[in-house]
Amino acid sequence: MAELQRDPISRAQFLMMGIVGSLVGAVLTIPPAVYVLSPTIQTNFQGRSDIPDEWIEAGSVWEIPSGAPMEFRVEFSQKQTYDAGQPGAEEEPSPEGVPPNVGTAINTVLVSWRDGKLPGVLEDNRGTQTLSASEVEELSRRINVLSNHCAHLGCPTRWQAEKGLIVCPCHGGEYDINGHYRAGPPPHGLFRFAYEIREDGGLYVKHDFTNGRPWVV
Amino acid sequence: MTDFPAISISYLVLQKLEFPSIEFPYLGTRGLVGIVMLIHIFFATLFVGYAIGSPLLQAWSVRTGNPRFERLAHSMARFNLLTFSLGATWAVMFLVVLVGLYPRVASGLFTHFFWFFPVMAMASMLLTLWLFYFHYYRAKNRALPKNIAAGLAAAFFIWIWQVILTGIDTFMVTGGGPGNPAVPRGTGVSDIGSAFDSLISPMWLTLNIHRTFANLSWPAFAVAAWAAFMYARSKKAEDKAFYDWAGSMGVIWGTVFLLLQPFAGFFIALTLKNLDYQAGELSAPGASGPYDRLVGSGAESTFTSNLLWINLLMVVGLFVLSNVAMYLGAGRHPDRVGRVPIRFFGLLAAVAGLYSISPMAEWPFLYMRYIMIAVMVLATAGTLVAYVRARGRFRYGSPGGWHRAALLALGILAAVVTLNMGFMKSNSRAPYTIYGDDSYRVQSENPVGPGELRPENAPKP
Repeated sequence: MAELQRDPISRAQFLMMGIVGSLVGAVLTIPPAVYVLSPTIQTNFQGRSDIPDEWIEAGSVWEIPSGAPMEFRVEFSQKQTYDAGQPGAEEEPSPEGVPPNVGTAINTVLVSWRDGKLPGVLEDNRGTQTLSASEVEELSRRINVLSNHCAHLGCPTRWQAEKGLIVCPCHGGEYDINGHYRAGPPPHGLFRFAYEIREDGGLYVKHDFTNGRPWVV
Repeated sequence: MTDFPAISISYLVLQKLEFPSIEFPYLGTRGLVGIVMLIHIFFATLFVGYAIGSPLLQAWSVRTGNPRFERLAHSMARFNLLTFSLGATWAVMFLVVLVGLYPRVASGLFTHFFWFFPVMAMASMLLTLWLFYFHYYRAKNRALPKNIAAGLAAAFFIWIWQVILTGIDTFMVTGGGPGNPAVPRGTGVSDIGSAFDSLISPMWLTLNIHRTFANLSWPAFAVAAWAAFMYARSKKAEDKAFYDWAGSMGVIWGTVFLLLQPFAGFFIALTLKNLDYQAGELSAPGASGPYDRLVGSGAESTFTSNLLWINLLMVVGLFVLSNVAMYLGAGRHPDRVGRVPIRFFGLLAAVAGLYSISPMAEWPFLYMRYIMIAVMVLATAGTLVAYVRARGRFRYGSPGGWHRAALLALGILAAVVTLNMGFMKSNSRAPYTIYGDDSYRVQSENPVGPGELRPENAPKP
């Protein structure tokens, strides 16, 4: 302490230097930091998806059984945050047809019928592969198209046939067949994909959710 | 292409070199977080051990009038002051990589444990630092009672920090369950009761006991290794005698808490095994509960069970080395009193320890491994008693070279065991370690469904 007290700078001067230095440092560093981090801020904090807004076929409604959800794997293309516009970045699709600067996000979609009951439309039209507009509307009302990521911390949930519930292996969250919250730490039910059913029975999903976004902080 | 040729050329060169992408290959994002955390843990465990040890040794110095306790206490406190910022820097690095690579999980944990981590634990840390600085600087003024009290209070608050952080840590392995209340929606903060429910997850108590003993045992072995090293560098007879004495203290203190560790570890495994909501429900192919992954249930070893096996080998090594160090250290007695019983107990501990890690450890019946570990622990306790009884007449100042080599080996092995234990514990959660964080492109490692598990955890054909 004795050495410090002999320092020619007084405490007030030291504090003033610290405050002014902090202000100057903040002015110099915050704008470039925000500029560099803006893609991440936009996707992770402002919720803008870096996955193109397009319909991807998940499967067919004819495959979905009664009493249990069906798992479909869907691969969305995903634009990489920092790749585009960099010097040397590819501008043409690869020989395999993969668009430039695009990765993929593989999602598992749990699809079930409301309360596990097969809609009458499907029972009547088994084998008929074309659906009328009213039948599509009826099926759209009766279907659950769920993200399998737990609404708590995002672990992959799965159907537990013995319990008749969708369970999370990480922290024991439980959901019913409709994806509604039953027990455990999750704050709400499973996230629901935006979806559409087409005349041929094809089920299409978008990387968009009707009850919040699973990946946004 | 850019207008700056130098940048374009360097970019093309980098492309030609085919550098791995920025997704932390080889290490992986988990590996990066894990390594940063392990470096922090190396310093953090020493800090906790010396924060507890320093005031206790100082109090012992007052009680016995032996100035060596005071000197060792001061060395410990000084080590903490010198290395705290280094350990804290790595803790900040850990938070940076955690928040950067796992933003959803990090924010989920921060809001759920808000009253415990950002509030109580950080308050404990501030109190620890203030009290510990007081403890260190007032030591020079000989204000001993206040000084010791401040040191003990600092030790208490850093222990509170450990207890809270272990709660959050164990929540990630055994926390939750259907009986746990739902966390608040959105960015809301959990109330204290709900967070406390999660904090005292099944593994919380046993892991805290294990960590408390570990933070007292491994830093003591580190003292022994440091003393063996410093002995060689010291010139004065007084210093040589002090470092010889400090090495002996380190072995005693480290062995006392080492004896408790196998029991605490056993109860951790038992807690994992009894975890009903995970153990019984993960019957999907390739998936299993943390206990199964830890011990490699079903005759299939996992990466984590291999780590457990390596840890068991090293723990037996620690016990054997402790016995060797005490046997050689007993040579300080003018009549070498204690060496005969130590030879007996040491050999018994070594044979039992080696049996417990041998391929026939489950012969003639299943629990032979545990029985042999218990025999090893009891025999080492016998060695410790014989060593401490002989210690009254030890002459310090000229330890043998083999003795110092044993102390150095003990310190290094204890450090490796400590770090590998943390590595193993975190791996018991794998493959559920990447929580659907889609914004980061690690799909090959992201278990999006039962069929998308990591290759090492996939069912064997």
